[in-house]
Amino acid sequence: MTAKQLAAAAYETHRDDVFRFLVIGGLPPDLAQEAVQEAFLKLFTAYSQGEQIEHPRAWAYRVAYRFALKAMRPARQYELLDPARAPAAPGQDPETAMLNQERTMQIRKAFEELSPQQRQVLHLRAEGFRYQEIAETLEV
Amino acid sequence: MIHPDHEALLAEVTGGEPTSDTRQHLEICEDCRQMAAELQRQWEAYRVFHKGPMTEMLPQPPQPWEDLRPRMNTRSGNWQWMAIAAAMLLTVLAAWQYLRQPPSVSAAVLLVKAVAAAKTPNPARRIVVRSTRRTLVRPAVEAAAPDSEKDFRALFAEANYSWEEPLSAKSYQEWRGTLESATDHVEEIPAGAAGSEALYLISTSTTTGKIHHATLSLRQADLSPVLTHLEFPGETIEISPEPAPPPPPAATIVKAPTMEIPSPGPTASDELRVVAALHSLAADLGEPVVIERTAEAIRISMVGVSPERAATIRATLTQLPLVNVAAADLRPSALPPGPSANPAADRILALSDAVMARAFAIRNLEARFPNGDAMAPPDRDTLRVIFADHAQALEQKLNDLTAAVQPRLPTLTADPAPPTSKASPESLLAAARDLDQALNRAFASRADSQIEGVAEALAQLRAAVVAHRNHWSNQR
Repeated sequence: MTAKQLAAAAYETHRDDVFRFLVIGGLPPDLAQEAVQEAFLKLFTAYSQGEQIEHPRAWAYRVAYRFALKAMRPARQYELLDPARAPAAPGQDPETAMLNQERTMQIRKAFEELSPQQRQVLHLRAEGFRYQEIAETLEV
Repeated sequence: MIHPDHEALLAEVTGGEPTSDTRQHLEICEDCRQMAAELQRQWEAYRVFHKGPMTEMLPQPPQPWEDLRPRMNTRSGNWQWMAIAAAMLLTVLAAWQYLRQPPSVSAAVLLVKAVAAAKTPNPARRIVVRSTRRTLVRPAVEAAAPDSEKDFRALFAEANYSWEEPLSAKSYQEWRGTLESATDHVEEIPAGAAGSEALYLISTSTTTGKIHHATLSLRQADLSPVLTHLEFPGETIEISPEPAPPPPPAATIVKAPTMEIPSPGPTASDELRVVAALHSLAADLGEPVVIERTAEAIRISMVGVSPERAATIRATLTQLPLVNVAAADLRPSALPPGPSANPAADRILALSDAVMARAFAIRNLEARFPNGDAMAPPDRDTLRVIFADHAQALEQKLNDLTAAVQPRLPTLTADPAPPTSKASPESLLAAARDLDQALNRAFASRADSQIEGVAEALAQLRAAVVAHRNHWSNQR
């Protein structure tokens, strides 16, 4: 595969995950989307220059995170998790649906109490990153 | 026996990098196995949230993903920066457009919530059905339609819309589910100055059914339906609740003092009674008990509360009027205290938790009753007592915490200029949270700089407590 094909394939596969990671970290959606695109363009450049990148997903997370840090300073406040977008649960009786909804809202509330970096750590762990990879991505 | 700490157990249950020591220990230690099992349950609950609701609730990319391949072709030298600048400009313009639009509410989600919130139908409730030809008043729920309604019944049956209960979110949802394709739109209608209530208006258009356009208006306060509008070919039908009869003249009321007055919905005073009852059980200190006041009742939901605790709370609250209690036990009863490698640190962190719980309680109370001073005198007194309880307990726990931490903080008493703080529950909570985080950082790193952070956070919280106390004395 060419550098362009490799980068485009990684972009198609991972862009939504990286986007969510940045938004969870506090970057407004428009800037997050731009940072994701820039990260994958940088991935293309790296491939073009002959760099061997074993884990393009982790690489993209790391580079996007650096873009995000630069863009973070003037970031606006916005609602991270909008309950109105909570998914429907077809087939559940009303009481179960209500209780599940309550539970989701409690986890949401707890999640929003975390710092942006804590949320990102949790996100990466749930995405299957190992501790070492999380530390490298977040540079902690 | 040396027990593994929570981090090691968490690594084990989340598939991290557990040590062989941890695994061997779990084989022989029942307490740690239980703790690991509990962590596993919490972790699974988060993963369910992560894969499902969280993904849906997060903002979506404001623009469709761009095909980057053309930009890869031109990606070199100075053009790179110009491309970035141009893209940023376009993004800012696009974001401006995006932010101007009000947030959308999904019709499907709203209907699910409305169905879940629906009450058992009141057999006495009646509705008005208006078509272009005639107007009909009938019970809201009607298992068998009389012959006088057979034209309506046939029309609704053909359109797959329930004639049995035509004014309900469930009927609208079921009809919508039968459509092969449809376009929904949700509009939020604010309350009017003349007393009209805030509404959600769900509109559905389709080309595949007998009803080509329909709307359902839901009251925002309790998601109860107030109007269904259905457009059939050549016929439009509107369904609404039968208006309440006009109140009798004042003179009639004077002459008939025994006349039954309809029970009004719950008031802030009723809600305060619920809060006070929970306070008497110490159930307002972070337990997962949610209070929601609707037009008809005060709903209490408890998720994850042990069965015994839920029974106690239920028994207390069901004595109060207009209260509905729902509970789900989604976790086992409380675990026994885990093994501790550092009892002094555990005690300090427990005290910090207690301080946080009180600060949360004060903030929540203020948010729930922002106009407490305008309440009736008995309610005002009740509220004052609860506030005072929390404030006193917070100060006591803070004193205990200071005494426990002070020997480890040589710089604490060296600071000649105590900080000042704004008097607000939010400042109090923020200061408590900062202290908790500083303590956690200090115990994790043991670096001198982190210990100084604790000293600063402790002083800041004390300043916030003093500011809150002074404000309290002046205002209340």
